[in-house]
Order: sequence, then structure tokens, then C-alpha cells
Amino acid sequence: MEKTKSVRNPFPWILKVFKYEMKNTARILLPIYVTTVFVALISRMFFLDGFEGLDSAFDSISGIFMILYSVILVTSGVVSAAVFIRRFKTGLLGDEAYLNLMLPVTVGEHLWGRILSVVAWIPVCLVCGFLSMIIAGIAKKYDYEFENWLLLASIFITVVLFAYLVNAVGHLAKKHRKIAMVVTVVVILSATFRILADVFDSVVKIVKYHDARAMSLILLAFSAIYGVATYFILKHRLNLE
Amino acid sequence: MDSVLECFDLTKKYLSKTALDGISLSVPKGAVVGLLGPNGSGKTTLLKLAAGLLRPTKGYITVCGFDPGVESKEASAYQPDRVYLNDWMTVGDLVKMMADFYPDFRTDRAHEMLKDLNIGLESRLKSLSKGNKEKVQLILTMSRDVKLYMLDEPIGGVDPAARDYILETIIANRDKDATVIISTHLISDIEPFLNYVLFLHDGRLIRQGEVDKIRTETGMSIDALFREDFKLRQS
Repeated sequence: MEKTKSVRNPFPWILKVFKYEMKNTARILLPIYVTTVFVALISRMFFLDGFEGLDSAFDSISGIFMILYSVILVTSGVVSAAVFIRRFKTGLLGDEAYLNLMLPVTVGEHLWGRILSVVAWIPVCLVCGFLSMIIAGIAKKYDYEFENWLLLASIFITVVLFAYLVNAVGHLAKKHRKIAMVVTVVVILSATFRILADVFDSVVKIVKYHDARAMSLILLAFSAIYGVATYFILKHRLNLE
Repeated sequence: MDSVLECFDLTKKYLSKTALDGISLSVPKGAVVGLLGPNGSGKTTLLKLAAGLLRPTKGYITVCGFDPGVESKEASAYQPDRVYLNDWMTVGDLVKMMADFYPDFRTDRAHEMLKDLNIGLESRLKSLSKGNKEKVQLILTMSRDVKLYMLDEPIGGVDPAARDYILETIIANRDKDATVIISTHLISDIEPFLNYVLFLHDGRLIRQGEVDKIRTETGMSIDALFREDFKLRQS
């Protein structure tokens, strides 16, 4: 859609997009993360000796808090991903795109600004999650290993960029967009696992050896592929009809 | 450059419909241009193509000498026919955001127009009525110093008092070198301000020219001519 004639420094524009994405997402994400830590604190007040399993938890009213905390912990991760995906969808493919795509910002700068905001929030999300686990007393030995957190961050980025691509492809469909998105999910996942299987013998082998760093690298490579594909769709095929 | 918008053989096809069918035109600099036509005639599609929000199926379009892209967005301002405002900002936040992205954005002008139309900077966009949202959008568009303003149905949803203010103060008092293209059905309201018209029908350009010349040649007002042209074509 765009032809940029002159080469310009993209960073100031990426930072502007990043700034407004951070402002927007902060008003939803910060309360969620603060709530997670707060509920962990309350739960710990009932489990001064640490969490000893669901059986004991169900025996007392205090177990409710631990279950509540667990639900909130998982929800905070899911909601975070949903917020980023929704920002992409409304900001670049929905009505708000009429504002954003009229800004003197290229599609690449829009995309990088959004991806940077996701990358910036991941450490905050993980640190709050980890902190809350320590407070609640449920952090295990392997929770202290950096590789596991790196893997979690990689999974998060991959999920978000995968959703970007699915939404971008779905938007190309003039009719039945949801069906197109479901088909896209199936096709991309099939292709992803096929490539994984061809390149690395099998997905099972990687999971079996539980090489978190290798898995993180593979996931980040796929994130890059999804991101580049999304960029080309938005740049060359986007029509706000 | 005497023309701010040019297109040649511009065609846009959707699935089962040709929205624009090989249009070639040139919009003169400094004019207030009425882009007129019945529903589905291709007015919105033409403006979206100029704004770079759609890709042409065939032909080309240039805005202020640029293909639709970053340069054309810097040189022109576009107001779509729908509400695009996000819900989470206040009017003041949005004004700051526009000033952040557009070096040519005149914050003082935006504040003045908002005050005239009784819209507070602290108002949440979420709480504004549809009409006030449209006013905010128009103010944001017209607060930029650009060569071309493209307004898609800018006065359709606003009350008559605000409509007068928009036409008499905002559009009539623009920089005289700037061109304003207005797509609207409210022809009688904007006719006093028009210098040039483009009539579209079924994706084709059926009439274009200077308003005074057309009035002299046909002996009709633009409003009457529009009714005549499209009555005949629809019957």
C-alpha cells in the first residue's frame, strides 16, 4: 500500500508508536499484575509455612485464596496476550486504523512499535508472576532457572505474533473472516510442525531432552517468520474496506 | 504544482462490484471541491485510495505529487466517514498525540475550535456523543497546516449550528492555498463555499468543472443540477 520515496530514520517513529502502545496497555496490565501480587500476599498470610498441595488447601477456607491466586496468575498471562492481540486488531485492522494508518508512520514502524511494547511488558509480567510465586510460597527449584523463563517469554512472543499473522490473513478475506482465520490457524500450525519435524527430526525429540534454550531459539525463529509475513501482508495487501 | 490530487484510469474492484471504473481527474490547488454523488457512487473509495487506505486495482493516484504513503500523509489530512476515535483517551490526550505525530499540527488552533464548539479538553472520548466525536475528528483534521484536506461526510452527523460554524469558520477561513475536498449529500449547505465539483455515478466521473462555469452553462444551482442529473439516471 505504501511507497516511501526517501529513506528516513525510523526509530523516532517507532518510539512514538511504542509510547502510545505502552500508555494504552499499561492502564489494563498494571492493575492485573498488581492484583496478582496482592492476592499472592493474602494467600501467603493463610499459608505461612508454604503451600502443601491442593488436598490441604481444599480442607480450609484459606485454600480458596490459593485457588483464586492460581486462577489470577494464569489469567494475567492470558489477558496480557489478549490485550496485545486486541491492540493489533483494533489499531491496524479495525476502525482505529483510520487514525493510525493516516499517521505519517510506515507499516513497519507501526509493527515494530507494537512488538517492542510486547517485549517491554514481558519482563514486567514475568517478574510480577515470579515475585507472586515467591510470596505465595509455591516457587519450586526449577522456577529459579533462567532458561525456563526465557522459554516462557519465547512462547508468549510466538503466540502474540502468531495471532498477528492469523488476524492479518483473516482480514484479507472479504467474507467469512472467522472461518478464514480458523483455516489460517490450521494451515500455519501444520506448516510450523512440518518444518519443525523436517529440520529437527521430530518435535518430540526436542521436548524429550527439554532443551529450553534450543526451544526458545526455535520459537523466536518462528516468531520472526510470523512477524515478517504479517508485515508483508499489511504493507502490500491491506485494504480497509 | 497546480494540481493537488491526480488520478489516471483509477479502478477499484471489490468482490462483486466495481467501485471506481477508470477515473481520470485532476483537482485544482486552492479550491473547495464538492465530491458529489448518490450512495455507492465511489466517493468514499476515491478518498480512501487517496489516503492510502485502499490499493487500486488498476491505474494510479497521486496526492500533492506523491504516491499514497508517508509523504502524502504528511502533505494531506483525511477525515473518514466513520468514528475512529479510541475510547481510552481524553480529547486533550488526543490533541497531544496528533501534535506528537504531525509537525504541522496547530495545537492552539485545535484548542480554539474545541472551545468554540464547547468540547472540553478533559472530556473522555468514550463519553462524547456521536456528533461531538465527529466534531473532534474534523477539528483534528483541520488543525493541520497541509495543502490538501479530504473530508468524507464531515457535517452529516452534526447539528445545524455546528454545521454553520464548521463551514463558515473552519473551512472558509482555511489557508487560501489549501484545497478542501468535501464528500457530502448536504449539497445545499456547502454550495455557497464550493469552487469546483466532481459528480460521480456508479464509479464513473460524469461531470467535473468550476462551479460558476457550470451554473452559467446550465442555468441551475449545483443542488438542482445534482437532483436533475441523478433523477434522470435513476429513473
